[in-house]
Amino acid sequence: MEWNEIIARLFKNKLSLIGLIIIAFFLLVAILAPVIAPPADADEVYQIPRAGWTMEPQPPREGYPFGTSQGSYDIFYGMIWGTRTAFRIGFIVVGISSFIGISVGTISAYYGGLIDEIFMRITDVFMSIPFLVAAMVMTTILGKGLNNVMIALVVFGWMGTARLMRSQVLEIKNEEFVQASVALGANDGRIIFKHILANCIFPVLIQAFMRMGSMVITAAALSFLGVGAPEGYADWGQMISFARDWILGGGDSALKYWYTVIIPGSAIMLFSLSWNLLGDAFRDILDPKLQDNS
Amino acid sequence: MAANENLLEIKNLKKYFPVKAGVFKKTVGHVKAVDDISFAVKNGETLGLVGESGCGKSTTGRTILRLLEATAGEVIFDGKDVLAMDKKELRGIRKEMQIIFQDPYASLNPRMTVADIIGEPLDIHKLVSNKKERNEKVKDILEKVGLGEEYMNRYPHEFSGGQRQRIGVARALAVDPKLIIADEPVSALDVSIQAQVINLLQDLQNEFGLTFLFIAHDLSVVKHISDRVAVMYLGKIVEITDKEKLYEDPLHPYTQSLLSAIPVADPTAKKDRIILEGDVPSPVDPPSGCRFHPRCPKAFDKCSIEEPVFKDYGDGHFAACHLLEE
Amino acid sequence: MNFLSKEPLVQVKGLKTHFFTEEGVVKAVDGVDFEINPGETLGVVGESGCGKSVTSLSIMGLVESPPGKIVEGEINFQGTDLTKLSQKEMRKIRGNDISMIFQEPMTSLNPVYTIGNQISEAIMLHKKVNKEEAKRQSIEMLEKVGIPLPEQRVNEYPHQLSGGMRQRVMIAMSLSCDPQLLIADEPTTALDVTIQAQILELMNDLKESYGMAIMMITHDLGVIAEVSDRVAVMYAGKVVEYTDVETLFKDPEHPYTWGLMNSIPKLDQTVERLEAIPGSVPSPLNFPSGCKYNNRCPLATDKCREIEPELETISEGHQVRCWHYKELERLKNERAETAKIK
Repeated sequence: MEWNEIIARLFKNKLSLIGLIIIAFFLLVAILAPVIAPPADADEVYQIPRAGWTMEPQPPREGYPFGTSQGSYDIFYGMIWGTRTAFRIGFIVVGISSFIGISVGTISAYYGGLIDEIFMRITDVFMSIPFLVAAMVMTTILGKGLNNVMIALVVFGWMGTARLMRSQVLEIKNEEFVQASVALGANDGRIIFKHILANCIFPVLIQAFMRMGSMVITAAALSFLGVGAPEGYADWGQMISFARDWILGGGDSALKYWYTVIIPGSAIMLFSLSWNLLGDAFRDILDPKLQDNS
Repeated sequence: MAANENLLEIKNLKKYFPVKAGVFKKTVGHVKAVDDISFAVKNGETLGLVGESGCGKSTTGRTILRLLEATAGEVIFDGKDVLAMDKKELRGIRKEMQIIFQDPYASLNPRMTVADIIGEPLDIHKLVSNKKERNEKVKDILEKVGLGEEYMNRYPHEFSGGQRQRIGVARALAVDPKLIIADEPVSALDVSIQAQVINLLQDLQNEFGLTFLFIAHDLSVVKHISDRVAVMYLGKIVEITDKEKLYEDPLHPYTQSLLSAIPVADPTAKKDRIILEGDVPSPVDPPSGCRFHPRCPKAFDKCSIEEPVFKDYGDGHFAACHLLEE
Repeated sequence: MNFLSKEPLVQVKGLKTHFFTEEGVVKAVDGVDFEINPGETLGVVGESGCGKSVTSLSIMGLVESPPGKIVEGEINFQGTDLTKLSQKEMRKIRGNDISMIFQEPMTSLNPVYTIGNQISEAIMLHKKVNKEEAKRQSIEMLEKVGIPLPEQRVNEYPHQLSGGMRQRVMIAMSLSCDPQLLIADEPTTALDVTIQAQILELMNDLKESYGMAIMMITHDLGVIAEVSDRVAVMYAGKVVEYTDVETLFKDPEHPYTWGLMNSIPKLDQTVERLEAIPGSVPSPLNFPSGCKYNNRCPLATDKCREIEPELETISEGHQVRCWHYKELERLKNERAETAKIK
């Protein structure tokens, strides 16, 4: 299937269309952040401005449409600029870890033998450590900060892709068109890039879409646990972590501080949902078994 | 080069696949897919290589091209041992020997256009210097295999099986090879399309003086296209000779039963069929002596003990059978 | 030929099975007529996409729906129209009165059960017998299809058998309930020639001892010549020629049948060059108008491109779907002339 056909089908599929619209919305927000929520300090745009020094969150009001969070941080500003952070985490973490995974998986499967053995055992070792715990420990060691969170997520996030890629390449490398290319005298680089990668990148792409959402959730979880972004940094996870002490509400109402949880929570949910919808739609389009019916 | 000279000589070629088992992948045995075969292909001729599935005919083809690494033996192509070449030499010699595959669906990269598929060998061996030249050359080759230039920018899935096989032939032809190994090139095609591709291969052979090693299981097709025919059974060549002699006077009992087993498209034809008992044994643990003896209707004591020698029974009619020595 | 009665066992009339897909309506079977008499072997020959397999699946009631649907026609089997039966009623007929064997026996056998288990199950489904009796009958069936050591084999799993043996097991299974009709869809295509010869011989023997009718679907004219009494040649969803096997091979009257016969290399003849049929098999999504063979036919005229011919009886028991079958004689003579000159 060609690219234009895939894209045409993405737009035809209702679920993926919803996903695309949500992503487009977030993307727009991220791009227009300086317009929607002009920063007070142009040098530190990711620092959320504070409305005062009150610890208790304050409900939405004039000037603070989403209210203020613990420590009087402006939720609206945090959400808008946090969108940029979400995309940054998603793209960088998924991008780099996918690159590592694709490289490891491809080299491992293509050359086989000892290389394969070594690479796969390393992968096993990384796989055997629980992801969240490993990421937490590593961030703690490296120190607080978004970059360190991303490093931790990359270091412990490439194995799935590597394994998937390896199985894909193992399958494709025995295809006759690859053999034909070998018989024509092609070198390894040409075979890998022109024949193998081009034919097994789609499942990895689908997986990458799915991981976009989950990486943002994991980053948020780390922030929530207190090992993520530094205090006051515009990040959805941070916004939720601000709500940690207020989730149960106040004395008279459990929903007293709803805006501290619901707003960042919905944003994270929608963000990861949209990528999942897109990934699902991609899989449906590319799954040959489903296509047989047509 | 003299017309009779051998373009390709196979000497004692062996290809064993290890059978691995257990946690530590210990080799517990070998599949003797190709077990000590020797033959030669003369310049400009078509040698048919026939046999049933699992007899090692495809493995032979791929080992010659070093798509599989041989276990032992020599493959002398144009005076040079292909098996002894290093990677760089090998890439160079690949221009001279090409392969056409059985499955026209699996042998073309689904994500490349026809122009890129046929252009690939031109790029690899730097046979063209720019895009325009490449397009011209691709157009030329397409025309030779009976496809118009309007197909250049299409993808393989837009073609029928027969057309794809033509593209496969075009790709092999692009580097101007001397030898083409055709591995069951028509068995996946519809009956009415088979004839087209066979005719195309013959025309191209006449036009370019190609040499073919034609691997197939269909004895009628092999008879039509070949000058000489080699019959394989369980990793061994049991008989090799001119096609007339093979089809009129087969010496080996296996060849005889193989020929008699073919259903003839004539309901009035008399059939005195030799129906072989049992199945082809496993190449992991081939029978002792002559490998055909458990199924051979003419087997006697000696056959299970001693392996028959492959020798000339007159005018280059080679066979390996104890009966003939009596 | 022993015809037990004059009444045909199966009568297919104007059968149309279409598939409704995203890309359009695939008219896989588009007006097929034939009959099979009791004890007779009907050969159905054609290339990929000609609708021969879909025809057999329609008879078995196994057309996947959706997207497939029998849109027109009847399949009369012993007086009942199978197209009118419910799934439940069809199940009683399948395996009992009509059974089927496929090209790839491995995919039709369940890998996790022993072959004895699977044959017994087929027996118990249609006959009221207990487990021991079913197993005894399974062993008997295995013996009948020529499987050595049936008492041992009955406890083995499909993967322990070779392709030829598996096809024998499939035959044993399909014959376990004494069917009136056995549909064999390319039963030997995946097998080697020496094994194919074994299976064809077995089927001929069994046909005689069981007296059942066989519908043999294949692309191989050799197999057709070997086993059939009558032959239906299919092209693009239609029967184009229908006659007894001797007449078909001696005197083919449809240009497609004739072309097909000339295009295959023969063991007993040597020719310089094969006479290939030009062009390719049309896609069922995009059949040409008029006669479906017109774009490949040496006799095609404007009439062929506009109006589709009907299946016409040209002599006793010989039907041809062609406007110009009489002119084929001329081509045949021309061909004989050139052969003489050479």
